[in-house]
Amino acid sequence: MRGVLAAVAALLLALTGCGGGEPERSVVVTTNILGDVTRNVVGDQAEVTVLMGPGADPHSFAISAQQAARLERAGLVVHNGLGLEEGVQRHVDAARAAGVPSFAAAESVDPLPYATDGTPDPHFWTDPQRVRRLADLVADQVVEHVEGVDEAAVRRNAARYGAAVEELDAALTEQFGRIPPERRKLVTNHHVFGYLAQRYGFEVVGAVIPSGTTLASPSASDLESLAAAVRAAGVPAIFADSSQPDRLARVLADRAGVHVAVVPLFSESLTREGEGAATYLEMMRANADAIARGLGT
Amino acid sequence: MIVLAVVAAAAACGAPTEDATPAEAPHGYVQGAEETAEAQTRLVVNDAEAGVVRVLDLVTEEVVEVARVGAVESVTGDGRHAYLAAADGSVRVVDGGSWMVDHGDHVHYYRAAARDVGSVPSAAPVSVQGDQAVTALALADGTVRLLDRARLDDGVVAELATIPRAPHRGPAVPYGGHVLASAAEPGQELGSRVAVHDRAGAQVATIGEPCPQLEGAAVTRRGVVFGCADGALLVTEGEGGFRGEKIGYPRPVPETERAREFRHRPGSATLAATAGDAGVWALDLGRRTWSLHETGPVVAVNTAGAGTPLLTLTADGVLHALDPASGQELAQNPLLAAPVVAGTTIEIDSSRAYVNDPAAGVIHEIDYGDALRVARTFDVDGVPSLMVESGR
Repeated sequence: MRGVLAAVAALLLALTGCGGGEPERSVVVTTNILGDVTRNVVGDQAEVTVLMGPGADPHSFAISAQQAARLERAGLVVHNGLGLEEGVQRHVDAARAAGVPSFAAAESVDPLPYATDGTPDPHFWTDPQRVRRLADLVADQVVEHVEGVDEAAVRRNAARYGAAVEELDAALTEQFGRIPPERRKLVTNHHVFGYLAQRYGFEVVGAVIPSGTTLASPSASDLESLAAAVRAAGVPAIFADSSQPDRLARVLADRAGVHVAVVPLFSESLTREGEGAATYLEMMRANADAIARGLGT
Repeated sequence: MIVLAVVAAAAACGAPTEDATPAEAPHGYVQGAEETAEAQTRLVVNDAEAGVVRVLDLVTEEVVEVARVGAVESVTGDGRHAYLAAADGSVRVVDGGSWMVDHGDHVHYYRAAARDVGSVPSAAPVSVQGDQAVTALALADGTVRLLDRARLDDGVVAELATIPRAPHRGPAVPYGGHVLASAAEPGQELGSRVAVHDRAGAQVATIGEPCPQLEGAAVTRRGVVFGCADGALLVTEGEGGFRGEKIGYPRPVPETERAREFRHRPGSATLAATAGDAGVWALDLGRRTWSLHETGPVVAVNTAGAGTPLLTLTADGVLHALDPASGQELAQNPLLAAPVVAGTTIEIDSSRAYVNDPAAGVIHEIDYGDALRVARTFDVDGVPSLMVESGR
C-alpha cells in the first residue's frame, strides 16, 4: 500500500511538473516519429512528452518556454540528431549541459552518408530495420536513466513493438518485391528516402520539380530536366512534393508528352489521427502502398 | 497521513504559471508561417504615385497593400525583407513574407503574411545589405547601423550595434558572422580597403588586398564582391579568417566604365554590371574573369548565371538576351514603351525574370530560357515604380 501511494505521489509530481530540480519520471522526445517509437517502448512506465506537433517541420518547429523547462527536468531526452532538429537543438544541448541524460537516435543506428555530399543522413526512419534496433536502444536508455520504471515491462513493450516493426519490414519486402526490378526507381524531390532505397533495393533519382511560378506558364525547357529523368527511369509515377500535383502531371503530359502520376509521400512528420500517418507504422504502410501502387505490381 | 502527503504534493504547484510565459521561438521561426513544397516568390513593389507598398504573390497572383510611404528613392532586399530608402532619410522595412532556408542538400520554403515591420529614422543609407542574422545600413556620414534580423522577422525594428567609420560613401556587408565594411582614408569620399568587424561593431581585421575607389558590393555563395577602380575584390572566409583576392579588369578601365553596382541572382556566381556607355560587364567568379560586352548604354542588366543569358534593357524599351560568353544577341523583345523611366529594373530568380513597367502599370514575367517569352503579365493596381523580389 505504502509503495503504491509513493508511486502515485511520484506520478503526481511528474504530472504537475514540479520536480524542484529533481529529475522527473519522464521522457521528452523531440520529433513526433521518435515520439511514437518511444511511447510504444515506454508504455505506461513513464510520462512521454513529444515536442514536435503533428504535421510540423522537424527542422524549424519551436517549443514554448514551458516545454524548454520540462526538457531540463526530464529523466531522459530522446532526439534525432545529425542536424535534424535545428530549432530545438540548443534546448537539447542546454538540457545535456544541465546533466539530463540524452540519447541521439540517428547516430546510434549506423547512419548512411548522403549520396550528394557524404555527410551523415539523419532520416534513418525510412529503414524499418534501423527502427527495430532503435526500439531496443530506447528501452536500454529508459531502463538506465528513468528512475522507478519496471525493466521487465519496458523490455516487453520493446519486444512487442519490435515485432510489429519486423512485421512491417516483412510486409514491405514482400510488397516492394512485386514491383518489377527495372521499375524500382523513386524519381523524387524528397531527400529522406535514401535509407528506404538502400534497404529495399530502390534507386533514388533526384528531380527538380518545376516551381509554382514556372507551372503557371511553362515552356518545354522548364520541364526538360524532369521529363528527361522520367523518360530515362521509365517509371509510371514520380513521388513529388508539389503544391499543384495535378497541374504538374497535366503540363508534363501536354508539353513534354510524359505521362506520369504525381504521388505525394509522407516524409518527416506524422500527421493527426485520420490524416493518413498518425503513427510510424501507418506512415510507412501508407508510403509503401503509394509507391507500390504508383510503380505497378 | 500518507494520503495527505500525496495531496500536498499534487497541490504544491497546481497553478500552471508557466503557461503565461510567452513561447521562446528559435531563429527563423515565425508564428503562422507555413512550410511549402516550392519557392514562394513575391515582389515587394513601391507605387510612387499612390505612396503605397504592395506585395505581389507570384504563385497565387494576389496583390496586397502592406504600407503607406512617402517618396522612396531606392529599394533593396535580403531575400525576405525589403528596405525602402525614403527621401526623408528614413528606411522603411517591409516583410515580404516569403523566404527560404538553405540546408545545403535541400531547401525549405516558407510563406507567411506580408507586413509592414517599421521604420528606421534618419538613416539616409548609401547601402543596405543583410544576411540571416543582421542587416547593415551604411549611412552617408560613414556610420554603419546593424539591425537585428531575428527581431525584424518578429516584426520589430531593433538596433544591435553601430560601427563608427570615417565619413565616406562605402557599403557594409554582413557575412560569415562578421561585417565586411568599406574603410576610407580621412577626407576621402570613397573607401580604399575592406575592414572586418565583429557583430558588436569592433574592428577585428583588415583585408590585405586594397580596393581603391571602392563602390558597389554583392554577396554570393563564393564570397563577397566589392567593386574597385582596378577590378573586383573577392573576400572569402577560410580556416585562417577572411582573405581578399583581386580579380583585375583585363585592361585599364576608364573611371566612367568601371562596375559600380552589381546585379545577380542570389546564389549565382556570375554578376552583371553596367559599363557606362560602353555596355555591360559580366564577372564570372568561378573562372575569375571579367567580360565586357560592348552593347552601348543600357538602362538595366541582370543574369541568373550558370550559363543562362545576360539580360539587358535598353532605353528604347527592348529587352535583350545575350550569350554570357560571346555577348552575341540570342533574342530580343520590345517589352516597354520608350523612353524607359528611371527605376525600371530586372529582378531574376532561377526560372523567371521580372521587369517593372511603370508607364503601363504592369510587371512582366519573362521566361529567359525561352527566347524572352512573356510568361505572364501582372496588373498591380497602380504604378510599379520600384521593386525587389523576396523568397528566392
